[in-house]
Amino acid sequence: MTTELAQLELLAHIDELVTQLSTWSAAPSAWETVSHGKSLVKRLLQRIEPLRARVEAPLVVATFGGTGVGKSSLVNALIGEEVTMAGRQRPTTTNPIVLAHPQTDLSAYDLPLADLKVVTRDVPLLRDIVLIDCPDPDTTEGETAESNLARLHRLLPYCDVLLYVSTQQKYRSAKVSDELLQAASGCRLVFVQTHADLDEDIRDDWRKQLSAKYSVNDLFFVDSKQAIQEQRSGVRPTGEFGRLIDLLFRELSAAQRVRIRRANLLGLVHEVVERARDTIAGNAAAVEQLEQTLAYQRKHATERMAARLQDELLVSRGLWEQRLLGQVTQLWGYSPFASVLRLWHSQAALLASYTLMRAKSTAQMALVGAFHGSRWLASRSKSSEADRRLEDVATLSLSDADLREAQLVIAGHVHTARLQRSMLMDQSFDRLRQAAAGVQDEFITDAARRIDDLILETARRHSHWFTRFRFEILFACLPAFLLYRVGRNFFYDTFWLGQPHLEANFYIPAALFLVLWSALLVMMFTARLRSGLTRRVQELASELAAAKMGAGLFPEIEHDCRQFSEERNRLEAFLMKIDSIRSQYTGTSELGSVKA
Amino acid sequence: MTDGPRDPTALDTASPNAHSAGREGALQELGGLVQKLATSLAKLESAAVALQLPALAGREWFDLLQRKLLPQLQDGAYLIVAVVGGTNIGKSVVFNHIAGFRASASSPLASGTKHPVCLVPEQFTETHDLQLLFPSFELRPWAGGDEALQSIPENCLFWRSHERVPDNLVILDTPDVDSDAPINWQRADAVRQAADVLVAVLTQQKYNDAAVKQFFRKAATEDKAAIIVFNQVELPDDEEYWPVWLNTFCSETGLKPEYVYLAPNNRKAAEAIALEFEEREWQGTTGPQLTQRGSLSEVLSRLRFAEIKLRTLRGSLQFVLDSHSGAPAYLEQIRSRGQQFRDAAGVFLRRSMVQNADWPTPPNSLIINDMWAWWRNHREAWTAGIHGFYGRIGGAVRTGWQAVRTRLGHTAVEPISAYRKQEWAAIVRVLQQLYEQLHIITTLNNPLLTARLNHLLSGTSCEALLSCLQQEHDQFDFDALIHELVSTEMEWLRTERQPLFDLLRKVDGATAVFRPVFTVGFALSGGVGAEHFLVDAATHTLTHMAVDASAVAATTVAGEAAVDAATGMLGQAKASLLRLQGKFTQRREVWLLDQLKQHLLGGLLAELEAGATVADSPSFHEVAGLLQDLTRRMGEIES
Repeated sequence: MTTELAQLELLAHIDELVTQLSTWSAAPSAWETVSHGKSLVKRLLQRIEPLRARVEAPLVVATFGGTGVGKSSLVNALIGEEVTMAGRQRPTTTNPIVLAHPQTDLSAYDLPLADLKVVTRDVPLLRDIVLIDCPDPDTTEGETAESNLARLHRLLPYCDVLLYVSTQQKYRSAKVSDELLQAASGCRLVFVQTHADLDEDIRDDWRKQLSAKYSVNDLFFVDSKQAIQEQRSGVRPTGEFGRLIDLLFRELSAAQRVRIRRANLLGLVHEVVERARDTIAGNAAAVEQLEQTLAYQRKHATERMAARLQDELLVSRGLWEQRLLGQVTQLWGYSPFASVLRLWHSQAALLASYTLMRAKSTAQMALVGAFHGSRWLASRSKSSEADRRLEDVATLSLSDADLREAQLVIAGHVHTARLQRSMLMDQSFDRLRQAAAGVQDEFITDAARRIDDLILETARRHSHWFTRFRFEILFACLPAFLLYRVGRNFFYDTFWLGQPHLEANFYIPAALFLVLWSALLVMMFTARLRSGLTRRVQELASELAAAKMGAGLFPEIEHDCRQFSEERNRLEAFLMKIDSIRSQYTGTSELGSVKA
Repeated sequence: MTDGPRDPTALDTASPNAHSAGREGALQELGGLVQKLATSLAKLESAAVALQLPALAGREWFDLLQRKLLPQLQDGAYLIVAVVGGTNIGKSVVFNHIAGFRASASSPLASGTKHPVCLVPEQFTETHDLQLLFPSFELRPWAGGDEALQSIPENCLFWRSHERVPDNLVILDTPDVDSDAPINWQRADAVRQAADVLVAVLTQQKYNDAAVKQFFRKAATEDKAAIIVFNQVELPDDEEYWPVWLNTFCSETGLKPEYVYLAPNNRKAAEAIALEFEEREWQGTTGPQLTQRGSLSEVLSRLRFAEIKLRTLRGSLQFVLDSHSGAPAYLEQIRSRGQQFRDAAGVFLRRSMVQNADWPTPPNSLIINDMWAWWRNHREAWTAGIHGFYGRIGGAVRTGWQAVRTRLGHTAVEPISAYRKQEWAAIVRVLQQLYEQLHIITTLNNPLLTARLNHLLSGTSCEALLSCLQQEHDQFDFDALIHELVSTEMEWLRTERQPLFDLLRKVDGATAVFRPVFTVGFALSGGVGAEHFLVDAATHTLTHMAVDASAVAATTVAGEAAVDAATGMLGQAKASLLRLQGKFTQRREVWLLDQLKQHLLGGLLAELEAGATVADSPSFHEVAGLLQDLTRRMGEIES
């Protein structure tokens, strides 16, 4: 019961895996290598569909080995009669023979019956398996449709278990080894050395050779001639051949079918997914380079804009003064010196509005303030939409030449990384420009906000009561003195002493001195406001340069790069899943297989 | 074994002495030609390196040339006999039977023998250099049969001399030709190429194996003599089968055996070097028959030495001269590949890579300044004095004005750096067009170009090119170029357009008289717009300066006629400036092309060019000529 449950769970796991794989492989990808990996997996899914369908049918066991190693003799000995021609002439078997029990329904396998000769025999071994005597892979020099190798290749996809047959002469034949490696990925393996009557036992050396690539449990050293004689005389074969028959009965029984087929299927899936992963990994270095370049371009653009902004901010002294004064008068409210500052500011604001209309640089805009700035930006982007054919938008710190350079380099990396994204220059250049404008707008908005903060903070620092008090007192000195002079003249000197009233030659210089005094104080104050500004602007610029932006100049390609690493992770996750299913269910088997 | 031929004259027994001497001479001559061929092939290979063809070493015919013809044409008074075949079929056993003692270890495990073992007659090394004979092996003296079983990366050949080896034989045991160790095949190939006689060991399991057949097919095309030994034969059961095997084997490989032997499957006898080899007569066997049963070593004494030697040398030479598989095919390969290179270069030449450069207008103010500077140097002394004085005043006014503007926050942009920036933008545009074209070329699927362009188109090389060009561009001295162009143009004007030049001088003189008025006017009204005056209206500036401003003065001094002439020449002066602009742009475009050639396509085009011309090179013709000579000599010897 529990084994049956485990069986069901295994099937569910595999179904889940297959569904995930097919969804993954169906999703399109802009990366050439990823697409290639996906079509590999698609093809695999097509191939394993029939495997999944005939999970309960008897296993297909095929002989595999070089010519003359005694494949046909082995099959005859297993059946107990001469069903397939064994001979001294090479190659003996050209028309492969399928041996099945009369009750086995061969139509379920969809075998290429045109190539095959079907023989039915009612022997115990065939109740559980279908046996195919395959042609050899090593007499063929150039593969044609009629060659033995082609016949073999057509049969291999139907096989669940390979009886790998070899001899002292052939166990290290390069051609057979190569073919076995290709054939074995979806199969379990049984290793048999034949010609025990003539040859020496080389199984130890053979095991050493095999274990590099295969997991090997048991090797058999059989004498087919003796075995068929024993079978004929009604004796169950003894010795190594007996062991081999026992293994086949034990390991290939009906109860083991699902397990073997699933193990084969998982092996196949694992191999293909691994291949897909390796294909994609081969491209990883180029993609990484592309990503690095994108990151560099992004950083470079920000730094460039920040540097440009810094230069312009440092130059625009008038604007700084005006913004700072505006903020300070707002904070100070109404007081004598504040009124003087306001007066000064309103005349400067008049000039500034003129500057605003003529504002040509991004920094000036940022300085004008986030609110005005964004309005101005909106109008600018409208107008730049209108004449975006203009070669160099003056405000753009990223000139067309810069953008084109970036595009050239990225296009090169995209080419190497085999990303199928059109970088045809003219079409994408407009998009790039828009992206650059977007990047810059984002940057300026950020900068304007920071400048607002900076201005507010500076204004606050200079609005301390002590500072205010000092300036108010200082300023009040002269008006107070003048008031005193005028008052004394009016109430005392003229009234009591009969001296004449102060005349224009007093009022004119007094007014002049008042203006001069307030101008001096305003200048002192603005100088105070400005002190340390350069350092702060530099700080601001380096802060901006280090700030990470939401999108780069090539948002689509950045997205593709993220997609690429996601795909890679996905494949790794698949492999881990396959491994975990394999380790849970494959269990112990006496059959050999390709090493994972 | 002991009765093997020890007599050195055995080589001559097959033919009369005089005839043999003539043959020797012919061989010597062929040897000289082959020697020359090898030298000029080496030259050709290094000349053809741009074509990236597979190396000569490793080509069947070239290996034959190196391993067989070069050593053996000059000195060939011996036969090389090699025991060859698939893995674990008893090559070493057969070799030991030929040697008569356990010269090479046999092992029940496959792929045992990894290095050739060589037996030479006593005193052989006194007259022959074994290293010359086997150039692809490192020679080591034999110290025991087991050495050949070690797996070491060097291609070793273990050799010893032995009294039982006939005087004119060199006998080798070789590694297998079909195991999973490809290094063994390569060593076997090298021995086969040098050999004259192959003792082909076959078994019923392996006679039809693809790898074995391939090996012997090559031997057949090289016209090697062969002795076939079927090992591990089940007698008498296999008596009816061996002719079938042999038939299949010979028809598949084209090999014609001299003798055929069967060796019974008897491991004990094999170990004891006591196998009974049975000779069989077969339709294909060509050697003189002997129905004697027994030792295999005896057969070697029956070989017709001189004939076989000549035959294998000729076979190898024919292979080298064969138009499909030999050196002529290599020449053909060079020729056709060169054609591909030429075609690929044509792709670049046919295409106009840059359609629309959209070059910026050169900095006119600089050109004009330079023209003025030239003019100043060519004024008459008195006008130069006046103009110089006012020029200094004007200069001072302008400098002052610019200083004020700078203080007011206007950053004055140097015209040259503005131009530099514009030009760089144009260069990047050109590059972009160029890369676009290159991308399109990669889609044409010319494998030669695609591979090379993929490298050029990669982001890293693109970055490198940009920074390199930028550097070159930043370092370029525009002033020098302008200066050079202006002086040639003005000199041309002075010599070729003498009347115009004279008139300008006159006008200049007239202006000098009225210069005070002009300068005051200039300072007051034009001061603000001085830069405009210089930059924006630049095309007209020269004529303004020379003609308009002095129209009144000219009328007074030179009369109405001169003014008419001057306005007529206004067009000429303008044309002169336009011409300068054109020349400037042209020079800059040429500069860019040079840079691109040097840094981007230069390597590629030069490579394509180099590849296309290999077939016309002297070393190519030399090789072709030598091949013709050799073919002719061969023909003469045949007849």
